[in-house]
Amino acid sequence: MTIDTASPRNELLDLLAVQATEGLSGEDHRRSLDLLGEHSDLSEDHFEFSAALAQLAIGEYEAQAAQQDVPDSLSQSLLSLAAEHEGSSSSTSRLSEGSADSNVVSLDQRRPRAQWFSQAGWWAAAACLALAVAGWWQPPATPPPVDGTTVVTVVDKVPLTIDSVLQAPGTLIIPWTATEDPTAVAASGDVVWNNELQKGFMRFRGLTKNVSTDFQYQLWIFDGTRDERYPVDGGVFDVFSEDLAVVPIEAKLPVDSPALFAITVEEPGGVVVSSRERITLVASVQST
Amino acid sequence: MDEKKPDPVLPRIAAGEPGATEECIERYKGLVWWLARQMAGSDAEDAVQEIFIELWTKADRYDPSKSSEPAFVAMITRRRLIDRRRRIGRRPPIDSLDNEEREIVVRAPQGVEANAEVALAARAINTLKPKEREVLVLSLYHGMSHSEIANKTSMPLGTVKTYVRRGLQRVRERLTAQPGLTQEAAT
Repeated sequence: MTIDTASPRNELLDLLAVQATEGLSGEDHRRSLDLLGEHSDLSEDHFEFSAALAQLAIGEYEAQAAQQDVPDSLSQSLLSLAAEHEGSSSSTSRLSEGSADSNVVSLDQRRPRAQWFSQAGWWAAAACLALAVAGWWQPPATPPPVDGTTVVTVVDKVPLTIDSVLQAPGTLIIPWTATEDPTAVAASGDVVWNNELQKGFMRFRGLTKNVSTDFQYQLWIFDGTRDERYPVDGGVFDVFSEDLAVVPIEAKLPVDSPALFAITVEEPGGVVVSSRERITLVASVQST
Repeated sequence: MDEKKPDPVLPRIAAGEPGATEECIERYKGLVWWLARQMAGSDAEDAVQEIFIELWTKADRYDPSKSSEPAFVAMITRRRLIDRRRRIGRRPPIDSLDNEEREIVVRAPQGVEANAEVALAARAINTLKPKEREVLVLSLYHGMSHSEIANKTSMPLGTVKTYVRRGLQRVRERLTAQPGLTQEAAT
């Protein structure tokens, strides 16, 4: 796409994109309104809907994962506001746009934010496990059957909700164990997998962010019913945030008896057969 | 999928149905909270209250034929947060994105329709070139301004603006190509 910035229409579209992402200055806003008068097929919210959905798409799993942690004090304040809103027949006019600030309830009982992950097990590190894994997981002498490697990222969606997996019977929640790989120096988190659903996700804190053109992470699932030389490809993914990243598992084959989850650092696009030169995190089912 | 889309709550608020505002809180507080944490930082709690008041007072503007309710809520939320950011000042410094222990909290959009919209947006984002996608993520997910993105990525500001617009346009095209999703979102 070539953008002709000299065109008033393109100038307007540029302004609308800015409006949807960072807002416009007064001068630019006036200019956009002038231009909108000349382009009746466009509107002020031209890109706003797309921006909202794109933000949700990028952060959807993080969003779902921490759903229960809205501060109690905030919930209570909102309920008070709701009662006030419903209890007043003239609330609509009183709470009209622009007067919202005066109706905000002060929050004098702010609490420390709840820990999203339980502390138990979160920081557990079992270096010996990593060593054991490294010894057990020897590179295959011959390539495994090629199933194709699909590049996925955190914005590739699968029909999955965090709650549905967490609440399903038999769900495994296994803490990651960091290796000495530089990407894992500050990494922790867990892998959540339900074998019956064949669905799951990974949660990370502190795993080094990657640029997909430099390298990508790839999940491997060792299945106790399969030849251990040929783990199931669990998907290639990127990490956008070192605060919290949640990544769905995209197992390319059915997993009958998961024994170990391992993440490697791979070339962009991932690989069909890992050289296993860089194992960054492992999670052993037996250790739970 | 046999999930059922929940009945929109905003029309019931507009109609003055008792309890509808509480239901709105329960349904969307996570979504609004997450967006506010992303875009307003430590000011998020005050922002969330502002946003809910706006949602209730603008409830009659929601048109189910134009968008899903979660998408409408997200759009109104973003708009308010952007306005608030411009009014109050910039969001937390960019450096804090890497260092601050942020709790990202949300109740995800509910219902098949909302998930379908998000999935379409995701697919559209994935069709972008890596640099374009990176710029969009920095803008929407990390809340960086176009100038900040230019500084961080060493791209010319004009390129950043082009990538942002291109990304939004790609998402929009994908959404509007779907039956039931009209060209303009309700406001």
